[in-house]
Amino acid sequence: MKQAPNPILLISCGNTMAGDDALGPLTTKRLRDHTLPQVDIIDLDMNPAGLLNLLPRQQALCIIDAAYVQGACAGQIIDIDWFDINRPDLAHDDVLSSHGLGISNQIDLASTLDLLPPIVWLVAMTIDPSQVGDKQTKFLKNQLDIVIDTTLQRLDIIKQTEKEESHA
Amino acid sequence: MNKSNKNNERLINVGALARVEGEGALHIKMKDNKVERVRLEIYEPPRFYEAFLQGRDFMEVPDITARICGICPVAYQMGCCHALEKAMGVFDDLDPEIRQLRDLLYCGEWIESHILHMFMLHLPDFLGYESSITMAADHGPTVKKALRLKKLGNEIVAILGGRSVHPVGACVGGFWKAPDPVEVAELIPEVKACLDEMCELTMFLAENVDFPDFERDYEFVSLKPETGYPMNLGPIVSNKGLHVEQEEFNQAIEEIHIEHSTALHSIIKGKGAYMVGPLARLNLCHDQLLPRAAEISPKVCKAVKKQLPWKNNFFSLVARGIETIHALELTLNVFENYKVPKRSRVPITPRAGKGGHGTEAPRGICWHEYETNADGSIKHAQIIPPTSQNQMTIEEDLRELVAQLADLDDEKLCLRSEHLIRNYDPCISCSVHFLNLKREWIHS
Repeated sequence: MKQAPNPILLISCGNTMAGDDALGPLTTKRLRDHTLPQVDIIDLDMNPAGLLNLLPRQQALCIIDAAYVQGACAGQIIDIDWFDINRPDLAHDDVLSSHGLGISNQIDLASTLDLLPPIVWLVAMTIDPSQVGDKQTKFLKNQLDIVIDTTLQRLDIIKQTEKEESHA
Repeated sequence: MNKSNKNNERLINVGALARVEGEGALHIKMKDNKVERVRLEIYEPPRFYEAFLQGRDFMEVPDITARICGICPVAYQMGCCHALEKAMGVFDDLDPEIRQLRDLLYCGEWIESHILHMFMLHLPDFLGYESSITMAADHGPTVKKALRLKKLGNEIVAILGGRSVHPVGACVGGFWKAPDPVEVAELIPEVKACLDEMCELTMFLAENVDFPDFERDYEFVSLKPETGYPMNLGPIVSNKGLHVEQEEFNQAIEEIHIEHSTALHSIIKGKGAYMVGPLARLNLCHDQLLPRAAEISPKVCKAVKKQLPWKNNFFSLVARGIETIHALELTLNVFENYKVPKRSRVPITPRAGKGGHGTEAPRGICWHEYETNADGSIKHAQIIPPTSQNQMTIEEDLRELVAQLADLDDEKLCLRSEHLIRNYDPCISCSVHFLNLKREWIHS
């Protein structure tokens, strides 16, 4: 029997064969070892266009991805509201997305179609430009645990916010 | 940027871009408003796969080659499974039920991929929008219907593949596990609803889209099985006399090196460029469509005012629509008659061997050939994706289109060139979306 989707959707994007762009898939792989009630964990891999198949969600969408910020050092953790104007571009949105349909485009499209939940959050790590065949760097190895902890904390905050709002 | 020289030469450069499947660029040189040279440059990552498949166990190949494309992993899985079954000597042992499930898996991918291309990438061109996002603001209900269909395609893939993104259910010899009949039964109402919806959407496109008038005398190539619409099996034919069995395809075509590209171009030996994909399949096999698709096909022809065969690849938009109806209908037939097969895969004893096989990916024939060692490890691999087969035809199209539209300014010419390239739904679509056109005029 098909189960109803959970209110929180946690997705990753990235290419495990393109250096530190593997951040998203590696994070969701590790997060599956945790018990996360009310959360669906999906790795979209190189197919961000798959996001729209997973919407709408009632409560929140949390995106784990590698971010490329021109001029910024690699290895910085980002924990930010998706619609914050300071949000950096994602690494795969141009060079590594399938058929030009990056995750940003998909979220814009979902927004146009009123499919987005009230909370859309991004947890990311800045990376240097990467391409298929690159090796993963020390930044990814050193920061992966922190990205996972940041994501878990963010999910707790999202759930807590929802709880408070429903009580109110 | 426009530049000119004393020889009245005009250079149009559509800048190189990065993408998942490689890099694309377009360079056009004109003299006195005549096209002298067209170069579509593509660099195909599948070549890397051929190299690192060597030494891997044959059972690993479907899941490795699936990673070539995030949109059509099934195409790569189907091609390699059939080719490796030939290499292992079990190709003829496969049960009809397994073959039917393979068609079903392909239906899921065709639906998902065709809908993605038609409504997210291609339709904005026809309706004059920059992207599907701006189009969705005005055509929200149509886009939502398309998304419903795309979701169904993914669910069909997931039923057989375990998951919709890079499915892992297919294996050499069949499937690791047959679908759960309860899951299959649950999807039937949605398939029925989507089939009706797709018929409406296809007619909407046929009746409301203004198709550019651009006909060429193509050589269309596709599989053509004795019965049924081409998908996994059948000899390979063309509208100009090509008729070869699967095993002979690699002898009938030739991959050639082109100076301006690291990608190999495919040509028919002794002839030249050819076209694979939905238009080729529909033109060659429209009499093999299932009833609902066959019924709507003449209505679409009437709406676009052209009888099949179509020589205008801008009609590929509605060709994909007709194929999606067929895929939904086939899905419904399989689902309604589904019984768990006695076995989901045939046993295989590794051996040294060789096998080649092409299947119909959403974009056209995807050819795989493998040679194996006695322990089942891969000795040699060759993969010819549809985009590399269409590459020369795209260049020839562009040559003619640019000549026809030479008076247009840079921006319009770039848009029309992009639109034409997207007819092929190439794996360079992503780069084409972001191409920057640079034009140089060189006068005496």
